[in-house]
Amino acid sequence: MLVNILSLEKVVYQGEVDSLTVPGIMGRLTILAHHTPLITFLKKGNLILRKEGEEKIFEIKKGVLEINPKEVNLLVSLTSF
Amino acid sequence: MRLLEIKNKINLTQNIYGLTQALELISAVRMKRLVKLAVNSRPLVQKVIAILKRLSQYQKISKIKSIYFQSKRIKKILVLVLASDRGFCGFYNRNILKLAEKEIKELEKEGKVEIIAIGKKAVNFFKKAGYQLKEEILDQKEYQKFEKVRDLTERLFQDYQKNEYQKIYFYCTHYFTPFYQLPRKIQVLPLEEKNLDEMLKKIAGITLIEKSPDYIFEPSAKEILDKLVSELMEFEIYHAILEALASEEASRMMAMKRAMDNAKEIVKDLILKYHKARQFQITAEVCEITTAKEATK
Repeated sequence: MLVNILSLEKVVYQGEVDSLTVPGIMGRLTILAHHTPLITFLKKGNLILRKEGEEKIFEIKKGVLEINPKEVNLLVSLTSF
Repeated sequence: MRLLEIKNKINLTQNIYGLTQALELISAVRMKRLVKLAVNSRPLVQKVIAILKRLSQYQKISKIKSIYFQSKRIKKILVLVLASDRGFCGFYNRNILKLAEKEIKELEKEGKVEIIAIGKKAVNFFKKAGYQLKEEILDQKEYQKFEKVRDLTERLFQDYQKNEYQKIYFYCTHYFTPFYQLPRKIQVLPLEEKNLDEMLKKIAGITLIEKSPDYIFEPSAKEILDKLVSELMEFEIYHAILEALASEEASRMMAMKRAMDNAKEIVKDLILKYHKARQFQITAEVCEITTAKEATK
């Protein structure tokens, strides 16, 4: 699935991943491909991207998660505002 | 005497040349920084608008309604206009203020218009034109900080929620290249699908023709819709302000460049004039000497 992680300062990550774990305000979520459309807020924590056995970790302060049939969008702020 | 005059003029023009050159360099550096900020936030804002558009489609078909997407009967309209604090920036202020004034006249037919002017030039302009300003914001440079913009946006959303205003517009300038900036208006509230479409087309050059998915909201749809819309609009407004600041510096840089070129041209002319005058003086002197010599013979 296509994941876009964007912040005001830059494009943090853009590309295909196998799965994605995010710190949602209702608890941690792991998202796989073909997840139902969803919108939720993110709280402070780590984003974990997994791709072919490799892991990538980003630290975020807060954000918004949007899943639509085409892609997964994460609008995050890396610094604290 | 005439020679001295010209020489003074040359010095003066050269001073102006130096001044404009310095200002141009400063503007160029500032512009570079601001353009980077603005351009870097563009991908995020494109997604923001796309999400807002999908949300507006979603809430049209679902039972959950958010006031931010509904147009109401208009009594009062709030208009924000962003211009610069300082002058010397070419047509930047004139373009945006002309557009705003023209559209405010149109809006006045719909309902009462209140204006918040951001930037000294905007404040002066509207005061001179005889408008009552609701608020004057003079520390325009402060709005490079996200916190400041968040406060402003929160206030706008609160006023809208209290039904103080039924429509909110934001006038600012969008940066394309150093030579081309376009004044535009953003409809902050209520969000209408066609406006979002237009915005997306204008700043990103893309059109979305996808159907809104049936979203799940966590925690609840109502909560999310209200909070999300204001949060997304914060990004949008912050971005718009960055674009405007970048435009201002770009416009100033170009104006200074033009002034520099003009000064250069004038100096060139003056130097030519100076030489001509000097030549004339010498010729006159030589002429005098020879006639004097002839006379004493």
